[in-house]
Amino acid sequence: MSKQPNSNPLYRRFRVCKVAQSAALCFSVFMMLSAHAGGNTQMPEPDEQTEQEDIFADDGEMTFDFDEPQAKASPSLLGELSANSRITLKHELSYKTAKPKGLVNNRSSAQFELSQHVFDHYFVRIDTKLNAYWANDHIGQSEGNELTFDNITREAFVQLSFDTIAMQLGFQNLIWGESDGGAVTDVVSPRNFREIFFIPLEEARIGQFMFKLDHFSEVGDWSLFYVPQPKFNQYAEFGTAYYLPIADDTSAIVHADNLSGDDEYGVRWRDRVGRGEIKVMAASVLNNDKSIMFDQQSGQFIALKQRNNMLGSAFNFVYADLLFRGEFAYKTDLRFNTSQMQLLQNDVIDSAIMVETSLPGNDTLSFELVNSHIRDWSADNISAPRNSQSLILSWNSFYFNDDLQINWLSIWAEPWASWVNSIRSNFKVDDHWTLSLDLHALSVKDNRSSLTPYKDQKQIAIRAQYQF
Amino acid sequence: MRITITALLLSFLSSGVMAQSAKEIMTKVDYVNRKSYDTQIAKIKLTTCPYRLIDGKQRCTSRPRVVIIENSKAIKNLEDTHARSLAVVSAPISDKGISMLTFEYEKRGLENDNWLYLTALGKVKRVISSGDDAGTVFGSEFSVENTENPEARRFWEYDYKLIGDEKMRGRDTWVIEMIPTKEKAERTRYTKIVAWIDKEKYFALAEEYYRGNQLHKRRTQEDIEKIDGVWMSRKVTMNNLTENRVSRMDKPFIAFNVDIDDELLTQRALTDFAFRERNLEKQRKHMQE
Repeated sequence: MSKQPNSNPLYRRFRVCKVAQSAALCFSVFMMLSAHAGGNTQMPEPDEQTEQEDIFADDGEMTFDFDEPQAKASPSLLGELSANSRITLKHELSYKTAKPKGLVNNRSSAQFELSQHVFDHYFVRIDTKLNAYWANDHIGQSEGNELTFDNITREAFVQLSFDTIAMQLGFQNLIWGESDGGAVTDVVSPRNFREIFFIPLEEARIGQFMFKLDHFSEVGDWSLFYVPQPKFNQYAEFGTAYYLPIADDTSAIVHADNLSGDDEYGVRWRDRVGRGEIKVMAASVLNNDKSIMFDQQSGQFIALKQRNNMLGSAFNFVYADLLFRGEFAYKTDLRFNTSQMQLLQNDVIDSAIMVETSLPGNDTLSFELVNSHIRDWSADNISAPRNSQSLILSWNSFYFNDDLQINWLSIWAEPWASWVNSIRSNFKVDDHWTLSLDLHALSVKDNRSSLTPYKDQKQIAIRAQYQF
Repeated sequence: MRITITALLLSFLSSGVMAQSAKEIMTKVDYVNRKSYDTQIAKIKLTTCPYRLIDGKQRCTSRPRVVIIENSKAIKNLEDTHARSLAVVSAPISDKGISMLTFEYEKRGLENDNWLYLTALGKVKRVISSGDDAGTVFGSEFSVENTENPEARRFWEYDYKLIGDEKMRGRDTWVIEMIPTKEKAERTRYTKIVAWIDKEKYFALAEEYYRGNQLHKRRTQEDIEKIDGVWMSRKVTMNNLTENRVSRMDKPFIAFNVDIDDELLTQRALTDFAFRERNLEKQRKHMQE
């Protein structure tokens, strides 16, 4: 939870709000719109239309200049693969508006996604992205190349499904919980903080090799996971715009192999209760952040893996026009630093409660409170206060028949106060092109905040995206 | 069971040509719209464009936007729900792969429950639903507002008045005026609906939606066919006369009363992709072009 402010905005990226809110409403109506049965009565076929009596003749003469996209499917395997795939080409520029001003991002990307049903019981899912950083992009600058490439594979797994069982093997993400603002029970999949909170949704999570088994039963759905070699959160690399050295005199950290078993495993149960849902989770995981301590004997910083156990629960339910969501987790043996960069070990209780409502149009408004409490906290702990809270406000608004979507997100964190404000907008030019404009501003009121190094990160970003 | 219901329905409808009150007519319309099948599977295409008059005809002024959805719906009481449905988006490309599970409730005052799976997010998300207020369906002229939708409209939220008889597209129709009740009026921007009800089929061939005294939208339902014993319209057009935009809903593939695995209409279908696709493949074999 100490890194929670960094993770806050990631879930509310543009597509989430757009799709999660508007599509929800859209779908429910769409399904009702789609029926229009007239009943199975013995009715005659409709008579020929009589133009003179047709009071809606103008609609009958409506001419659509349809140049309709045809399905990509063809009988060949290649055709089928093409029909089940999506390619996204994107270019992004971002500019830092606070001193020192300047271009931060200048990058292009190509993302390939495949969702293919094969051999009746199998399903293959691939989601991989190639990034190209131009020379004046901050990552390109750190490498000193005209063009720097990297590849992120978020998902590459095979799913097998039979009877009441589904199994998945491969690179995948496992995202638990209800909170949009805090990592309460969401302790499995590591995150990508290389760009702090300016990260696109498709890069926000780091896929890791995992086995997952789901059992769908009369007494709820059971889900088990096993990760043989977990990955960890990624942070900005040396030379990039957001890099933070651990100390002035060293940039080297020794990664210790301090645990005998590296694997992660856990189980989740969920079921409907009336118009609500309840979930219970238990897991033994390696914390997605390694603990860093200073070894006085060797004079080195050492990164240690830390095992935590987590027992948690989540719920959601609807009352009138309000959707309530919440979760709670008890986590054992989290580590925190002292001023001497030694380690303290405490249990932590994390919780979140959220309420969401729909506004006229497809607009939505939500409030979320997140709290993290460190048990047996001591004043030696400089990593985190005994209790830390975040208030997250989000408002999604739609214009021009949903072509333009604007999301406002504001996160207030205390007691080491900081305030993050973001406005994200997307404009759908047509079924393939999307243009985006984002504005981000930070305000840090207390220098102990983990966002203090980034307090001058006021940015404006524009993106152009083409999908086919 | 279906035969019995059909016989009752036939008997019920056979008296339709006799003098009936508007409320009696609309009771039958409501029955026919919502209970004439147990299950429905359909591929639905929604096409939208702005238009203007060119050479005497109304033509799209920009490339139409297309949404395609595969929908499975069962109208039967599963636990506490009245109907359940699963929709999977295949177009536009930006929304491809998104799937949505909806539970509908018969009980007054209960809105739908919705769960959404987003490939970009990688998890199932519960989302709030609202049956009222005018949000657009995928940017089309079809609205979230259930006032505009005979399938979603709640019978008890309107007062009805028979205002005449007219011929429409060669069919005899009753013209019914629907006025939102006081309670409903607080949640809709429409002041009046006028519907042309086919005297034999008991469903609307067309509807007009008024804001104040101004005609705002016109809905027409054409290409009426009998599919699996159920009459349905393959082409529904919504014309926004205020903004000169039009949307057309086509159902190139549709089937009724086919077996839908109850499990397909649970959250399993949102994350167990192989299971979902296997079941959808089975269903597609039933679809009529």
